[in-house]
Amino acid sequence: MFPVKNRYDEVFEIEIDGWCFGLTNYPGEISAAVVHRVIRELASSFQAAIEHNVVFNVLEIAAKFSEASRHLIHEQEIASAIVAQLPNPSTLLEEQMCVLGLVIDQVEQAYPGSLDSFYRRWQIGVKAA
Amino acid sequence: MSSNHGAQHHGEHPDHERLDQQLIQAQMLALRVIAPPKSRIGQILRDRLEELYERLGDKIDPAKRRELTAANQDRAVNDSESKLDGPKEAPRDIGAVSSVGAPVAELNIVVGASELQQDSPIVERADSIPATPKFRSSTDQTQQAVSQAAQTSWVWVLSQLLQTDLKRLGLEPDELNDIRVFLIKSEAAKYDKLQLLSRLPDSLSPEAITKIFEDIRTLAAGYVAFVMVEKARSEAEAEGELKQILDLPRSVFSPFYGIKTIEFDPEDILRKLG
Repeated sequence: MFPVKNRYDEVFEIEIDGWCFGLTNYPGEISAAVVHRVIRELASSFQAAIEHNVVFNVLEIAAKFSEASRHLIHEQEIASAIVAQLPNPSTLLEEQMCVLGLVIDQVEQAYPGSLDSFYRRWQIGVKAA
Repeated sequence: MSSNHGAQHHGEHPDHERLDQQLIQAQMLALRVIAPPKSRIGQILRDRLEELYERLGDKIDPAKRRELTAANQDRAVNDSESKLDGPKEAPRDIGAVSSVGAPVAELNIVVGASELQQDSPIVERADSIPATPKFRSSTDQTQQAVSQAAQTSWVWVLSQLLQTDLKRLGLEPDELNDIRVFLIKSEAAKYDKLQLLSRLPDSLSPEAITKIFEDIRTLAAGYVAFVMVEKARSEAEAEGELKQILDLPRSVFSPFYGIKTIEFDPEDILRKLG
């Protein structure tokens, strides 16, 4: 296991909790689009977490967001959305690729096929580039 | 993908090949209607179509496609002679889709889909599709007719095709959600035309979503600031000094990064304004 840099695991946890707090305490009605927008916004944070060697638990985060969004979206859908925001492995260092592998592996264990989906997107991303 | 499924399990049976072609046609419609040029969704669909054509050994032969379209057209006319009151269009190449009225060729996708093999995932969708399309685009229809139209239009059929097939193509929930929003808006346009819709719900308005999102970000920023200050304070109390200053979370505070403070004299501005 690689050491976490700059205590980023703590920052990341606070960040996720912050967004969940925002979703939970928003006084109006929230829609699935809003939740997806939040997850999309977290793309840079997921990348930062991986760059700082933080092996975050996607399933746990998905469960938190699902609960915060009053179960508007299923945990699996949120987990897929998070996986979709993970960085392209080709942009990462070897050490970070291992961290990314550990992150995706948890999702793959729970929802088989996630890795395929990720790989397909990554290939498409390479093609587009 | 059901078309692959058919090709793999049923060999070269002409019916299955035809059904594969019909699915391709449906996806081509989706491509033209939904996916804007150069978008990633468009790229995924195009890749998928290429793969399907390669599998079928049909390298996008325009003549064959026209032949299929014409055959579909004939069959659709036969099927719909006693069912459709709307205007019947002349045979044309696939993909020319009107915005509201569902032409016979497109409605024929419904008929084709209902003939899929029983073990295909499409069957569930095909079973739920009414066999008798009754779409009319005139403005004197009743609300009930509009409701039926919403159920039988090509937009609805495509939404059913897309929601299953695009998941297998690697599209993610947020992108599927975008497609759903597009499809709902397409349907809403019909209601709007009939003056049955006063306004779209907030969940379909990008401006409303952005506003809600920014409000949630503000709440998140408040939470993060509070927690980080508390954390720093507790660490300072426990150890006499801070271990290390934590970075600010990017997603919460990044909008405020890089914004330079501008110093100005209000009186000077007012003077210039005259």
